[in-house]
Amino acid sequence: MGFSVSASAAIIFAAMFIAFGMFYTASANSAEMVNDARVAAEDDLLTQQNTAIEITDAVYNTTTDRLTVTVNNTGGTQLTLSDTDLLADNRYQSEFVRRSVNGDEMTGLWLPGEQLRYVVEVSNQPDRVKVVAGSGVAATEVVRRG
Amino acid sequence: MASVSASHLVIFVASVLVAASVAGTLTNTVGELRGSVGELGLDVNRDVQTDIEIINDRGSTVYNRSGDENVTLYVKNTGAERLPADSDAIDVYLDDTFVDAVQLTPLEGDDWRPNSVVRLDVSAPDLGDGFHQIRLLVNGDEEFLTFGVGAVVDETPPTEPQNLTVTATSTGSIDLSWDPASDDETGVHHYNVYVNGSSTPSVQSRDTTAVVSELSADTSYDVEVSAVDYAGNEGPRAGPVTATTDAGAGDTVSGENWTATLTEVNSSALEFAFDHDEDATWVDVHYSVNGGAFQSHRMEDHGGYHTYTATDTGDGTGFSSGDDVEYYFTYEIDAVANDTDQYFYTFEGGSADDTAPTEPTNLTGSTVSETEIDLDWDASTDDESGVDHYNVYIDGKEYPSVQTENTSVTVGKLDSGTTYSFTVTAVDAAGNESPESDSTEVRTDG
Repeated sequence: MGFSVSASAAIIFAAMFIAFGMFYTASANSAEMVNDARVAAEDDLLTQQNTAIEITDAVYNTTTDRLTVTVNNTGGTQLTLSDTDLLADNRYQSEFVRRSVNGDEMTGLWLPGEQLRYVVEVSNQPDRVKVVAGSGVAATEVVRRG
Repeated sequence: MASVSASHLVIFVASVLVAASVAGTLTNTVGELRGSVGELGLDVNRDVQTDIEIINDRGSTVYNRSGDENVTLYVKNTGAERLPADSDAIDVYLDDTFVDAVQLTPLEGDDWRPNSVVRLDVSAPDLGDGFHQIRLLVNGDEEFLTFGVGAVVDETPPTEPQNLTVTATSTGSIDLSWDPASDDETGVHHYNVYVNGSSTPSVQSRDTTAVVSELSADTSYDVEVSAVDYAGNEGPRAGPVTATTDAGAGDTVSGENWTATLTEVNSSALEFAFDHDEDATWVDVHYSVNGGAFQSHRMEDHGGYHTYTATDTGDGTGFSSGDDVEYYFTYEIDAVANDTDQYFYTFEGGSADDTAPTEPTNLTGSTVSETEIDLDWDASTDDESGVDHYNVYIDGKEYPSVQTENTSVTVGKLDSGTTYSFTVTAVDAAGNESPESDSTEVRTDG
């Protein structure tokens, strides 16, 4: 009798041991994944807090139909041009006559203190422009006629 | 004994079977649980990493009423999670009603990776006038946009700016600072600063600070600030706060039963005030500037206290720093005219230096090489803040090509065999620029 009970207890014990092992790895993995995500989200938030842009001028030239927008990176983070978006009167601009940072058209980086300059061709004068940096930090400006 | 061991054996087998099935069920259930926990972790991970942002400009129209009757949104993936570029992945609610007719178009590439933008066309036929709210839901991340349709644009003015404070005063200006106002619709465009309840703003500022200038010394002013949104609506005025400008430089002289006070009310005007214990019937002030002819002026009577603000130094211009003023008063007491001694005062003029230095003279140039030219000139003088630097202009350009603190400079990076025309100006510490010197032409070698 004592022998049989201890055998079945051993089986259940072994099963519990295995089950705990399985569950532990799964929950540890999940906790780690969630933790990683939170750290990444905090990093993003920090980047966002350190990002600041300021539109210094938005001019529309009626003779050339060109809109020139100059934006300064006034924050402390490095921004990339491919992640920065330009909206003119809520129209997304993807074709640029020129897109340069401090006069350099080849660069993809927009460092703190540097000035980004967009030249786009639009047939009608937009009223307002909005520039959105990668982290969602945005600046808007009323377009003036130049 | 044999029967006992047989029943023992049966119970032993049965207990092992029961234990095995319990163990099987346990491991099975835990296995399923493990799968669920893993998926839950993935889900939470995805939810935390998902962040979207509607980047539409709130000041521009969102709804195309005359065209396809769509609400067009631009949505940026500001998180770290790659999102499916599929309208099923995003739930859209317009005025709290689920909208099925949504088209999602990636604008950068084929997918909706982090930092890229998609266009969302939400079909909304016959959307009425007024404000509407659209709500997006992706992986538990929620975004709102409130927009106006039709004639209803932003009619709500911004809130009142808070904590209006005076941060500094000088003899002619007041520095102000305040906390930003808010405007839920188009946003705050600028702030208006009003002085003494005026209906037209004295200063407009895009920041939350402003300097009100051209004020008189030793005077109290009531200052108010209001915010104006992009649609031109002006919010309530904050304040007023009262600020007093600093007293200007001055002097006090006195004689028998009378006292006279001189105050520099601004950088070019001098106020004389005369007070006699027995209340003079009239008082005249007589003054001469830098040894010029004396001017006489009847002073304004404020009930025994007489004032006159002098703005003319004799040649039609105001006082400037360093002017020597010689003055005396004549007055009548009990029908007897008296006059005071003569006094002297040197006008300080505060810190405002508005006189440019003299122009540089004797500008000469010599060729150094194919690309370099040496220039040399005589120093300018500036009695007030002193010469700070010189600007060198090439070929009459609008902006100086070279700035130097010396009276000579080597201009480089020129083209060979080319004649250049140079002029030089002097700039004082207050930023006043002198007239241009005579130009000199020099040709580079080559």
